[in-house]
Amino acid sequence: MATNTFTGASLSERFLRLKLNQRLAFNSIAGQRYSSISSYGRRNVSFSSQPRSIRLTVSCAAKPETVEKVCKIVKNQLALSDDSKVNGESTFTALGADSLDTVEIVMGLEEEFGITVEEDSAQSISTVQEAADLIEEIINKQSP
Amino acid sequence: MIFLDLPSIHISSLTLYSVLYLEGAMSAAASSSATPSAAQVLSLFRSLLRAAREFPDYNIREYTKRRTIDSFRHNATLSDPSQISTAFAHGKSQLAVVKRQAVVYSLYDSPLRSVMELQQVPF
Repeated sequence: MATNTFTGASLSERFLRLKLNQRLAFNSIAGQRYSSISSYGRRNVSFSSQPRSIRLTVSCAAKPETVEKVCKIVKNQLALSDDSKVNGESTFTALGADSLDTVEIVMGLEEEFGITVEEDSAQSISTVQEAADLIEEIINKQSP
Repeated sequence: MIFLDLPSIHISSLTLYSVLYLEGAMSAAASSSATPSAAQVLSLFRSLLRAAREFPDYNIREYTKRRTIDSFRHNATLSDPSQISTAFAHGKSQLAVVKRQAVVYSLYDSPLRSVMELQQVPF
């Protein structure tokens, strides 16, 4: 008995013969695709596949080393003393940075980590932790 | 103006940097009537810093970055809309000059690198 296989579902020839004039449709999600089979007769089987938008969100905190590096760059950029406390929760404005300083910090981070930060992303950074998280995200995107 | 007039410096240094500013001495009379927003100014600032990175020569690269930062800080106090527009237009013209000159300098790049670019001291 011959078997036709479409995305893990098998339809036997006998079953198709019984359902000659009946429309059969079934849906299966394989990966991120929506697949459907329509049978109007034994010789008329159509297969359609279209993309299905499935969104996965993975969020994780940046590594402590990355945060430490960012803190060092921020201190250097804003000419802060070594004993001044800069941590993940520190905001750039609280550290005395203006909008030009923020741009310079982002540019410094780009050079240090060898990345390119998009303009809209750069404008949304306000804390050291946010900067570190964004860097991790960009680095993860770059690595295959 | 985004870039201030060059100070009277040693003639050899002047020849090194003059190409940036003699060409960039075009007037900013073609300033747009609308006052640029803060986001546009920051975008120009970012673009100039990015363009400065493209210079293969350490001295010119650092000079352009420093000059950009100093000039934007100097003009941060401007309040007159016409002055802001003029400075912004001049900055845009300077950006075009920097981009163009970065290409020219990369065509005649020297294999020698500045000691300032070394990651570790060789002695």
